[in-house]
Amino acid sequence: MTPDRSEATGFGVAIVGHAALVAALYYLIDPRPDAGRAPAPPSIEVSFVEETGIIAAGETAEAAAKSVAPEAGPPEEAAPAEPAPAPVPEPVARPTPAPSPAAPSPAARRAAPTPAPAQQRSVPQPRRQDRQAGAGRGQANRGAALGADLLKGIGNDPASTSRRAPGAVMTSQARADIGSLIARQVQPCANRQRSPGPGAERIRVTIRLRINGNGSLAGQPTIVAREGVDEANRRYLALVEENTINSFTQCSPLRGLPAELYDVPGGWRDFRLRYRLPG
Amino acid sequence: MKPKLHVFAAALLALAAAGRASAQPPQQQPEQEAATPAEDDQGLVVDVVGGQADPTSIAVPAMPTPASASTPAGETGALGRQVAEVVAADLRNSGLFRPSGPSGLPAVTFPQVTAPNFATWSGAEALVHGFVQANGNGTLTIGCYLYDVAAQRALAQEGFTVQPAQWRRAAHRCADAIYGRLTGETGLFDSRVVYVAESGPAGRRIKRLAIMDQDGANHRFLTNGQFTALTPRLSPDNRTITYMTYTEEQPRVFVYDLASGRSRPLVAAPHMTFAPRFSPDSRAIVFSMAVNGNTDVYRVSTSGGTPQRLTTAPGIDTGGSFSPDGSRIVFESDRSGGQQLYVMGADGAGQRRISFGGGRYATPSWSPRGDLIAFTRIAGSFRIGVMGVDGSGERLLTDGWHDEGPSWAPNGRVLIFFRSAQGSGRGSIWSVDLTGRNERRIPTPLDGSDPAWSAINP
Repeated sequence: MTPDRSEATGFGVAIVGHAALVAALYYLIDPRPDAGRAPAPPSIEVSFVEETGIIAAGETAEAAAKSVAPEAGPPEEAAPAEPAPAPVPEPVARPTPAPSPAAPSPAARRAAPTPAPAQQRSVPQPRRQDRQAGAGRGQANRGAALGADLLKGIGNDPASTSRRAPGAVMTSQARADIGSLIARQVQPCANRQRSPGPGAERIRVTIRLRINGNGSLAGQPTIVAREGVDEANRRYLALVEENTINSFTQCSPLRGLPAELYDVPGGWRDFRLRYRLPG
Repeated sequence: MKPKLHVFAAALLALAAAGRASAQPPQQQPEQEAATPAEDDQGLVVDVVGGQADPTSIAVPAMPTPASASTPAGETGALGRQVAEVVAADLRNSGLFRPSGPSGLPAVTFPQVTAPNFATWSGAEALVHGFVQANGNGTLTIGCYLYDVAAQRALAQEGFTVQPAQWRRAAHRCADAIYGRLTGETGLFDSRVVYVAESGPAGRRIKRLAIMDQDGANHRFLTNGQFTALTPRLSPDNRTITYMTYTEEQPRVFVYDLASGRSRPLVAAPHMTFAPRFSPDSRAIVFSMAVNGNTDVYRVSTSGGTPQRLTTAPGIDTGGSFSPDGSRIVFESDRSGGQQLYVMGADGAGQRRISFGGGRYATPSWSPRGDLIAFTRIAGSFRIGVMGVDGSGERLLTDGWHDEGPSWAPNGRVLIFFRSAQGSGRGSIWSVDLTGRNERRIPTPLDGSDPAWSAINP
């Protein structure tokens, strides 16, 4: 059976059409990274280290790098406007009177040393990534660890005078170790607190503490969470809140914490203390 | 042919889609990145667990007076020392404090009351200051201040203006303010206890109603002992006492008016009535009445009238006690074969058993906080215990040979009960903290039984 003219024409059109379809699908669903999509993130090398002490990652850096990324934190996190570079403050070892948990005296606040190491303010140089992340609009980068200032400080310019430990990062291990150091200092004062009555041990109170560089309180502790409160123990809540604040204030200032991890994301400049009675 | 072409095209699409999928990065990656910032948001969190139940050390020096004056209760300077003694004793008796003073402590000047010299009191955690001042109108003003010595700050301050004869009440109120501020509990010291004072040889015991302050002061007898009186209960408004007495050799519930000193039968029925207790509003009394050999729980107005029967089960239903909101009643019943605790609505509806332990349960008392029921557990010995209102979490607080009849302090933190001595059977009044600690005998001039704690004095 010989195909007639129309059938031959239709068959030819079908072949051409399918070829065009295959070509179109090939280009449309091309997985190549340069096919109009954002490039895939570069791979990173992961290595495991045996060092687990409280050592900032930046301590081993040979050269401090000049900051080239815009400041992402709020004004309160900026360096104090001191004309002359001040020496890096060491943790104050001398005891100071325990401040009142409710309201530290103004004198005590005035006497508090400069909260943060001097830090050179860099000139913002917006980059494409900044715009994508919303940086450069005065927003604090409180979220992602890999924020818009990811590349800040990376480099080998020895001229930097930044007081923040270059490249210092609060690793999970450092966080655990600092938490342990603080807990050990606070524990004796926590042990002195009184259990007001049965059921109070079910209450857990979390306070937020802002700390000066010398380990003293930089402001009034604020209660940020109350857990385990029920009808039977609600009468004890105020006292457990006092216990929580007293546990810290009666054993402050903090001592022996790594200065380089004071003013870093997740550093001990601003942390939370969770307290409960035993039982 | 057309269907075949469609299958071919579909296969091409599937292959292309598969290739696309295999070329994509894992979809989980953004979620993992999203989790990391969340942890960073949390930042550094330090967990601390600590605390103790040891008594708080508190200094209670004598309270100065701005100007010495003579009053019917004594000279104001001497009263300042006595007020401090009462405050220290109250705090000590609570078991939650370790007071020092007023003996052996330095004198406090009047200006120091509001500006303490904290260095003097560094050995104590808390400090009590106060003053006693005679007013021109014959009253006294007693000031009361509490300080945190370590923090060097005031924690509480109150002042009470009273008639000189009421100075002890002001001292109790001062102690309540301190106790409340440092424990979170409401007060209990400005309250009274009514109980049965017993005297005479066994077999011919004289049992009289008596009332006293919770610390044993201001003791007085309410009845002369001609008729035996048992199970007294104070009304929450502190105006009336209901109790059981034997008249014509039959137990009957009476109501005693504290202002007039007169008693009257609660109901006119000729049946045995016993185990009375007030409702939280003082307007009703729940009691037991035995009719034709069956004892049930009834409710009646405090002023009398026709009782409302709340239980109907065969056997003995007795010992009713209202919940603090007045909506429910706990009582004991032997309907299951032995004494057990049951809860029902205030109208008798929805009766259900809440105790299931071995032995017997008796004399239930609902906590003024509403969360616990105290009882006497009878299993070999008699012991005081508490359980949740649904019967859960039963705890025994005492371990005496015969401890019986718990009654709650007005703040629901302490229980008072009576203990019978093994052998002699002589009774004494005791209190115990809800923690089971600080079991303490309350001094009475005679033997005592059936104590009932009042509400806070108005």
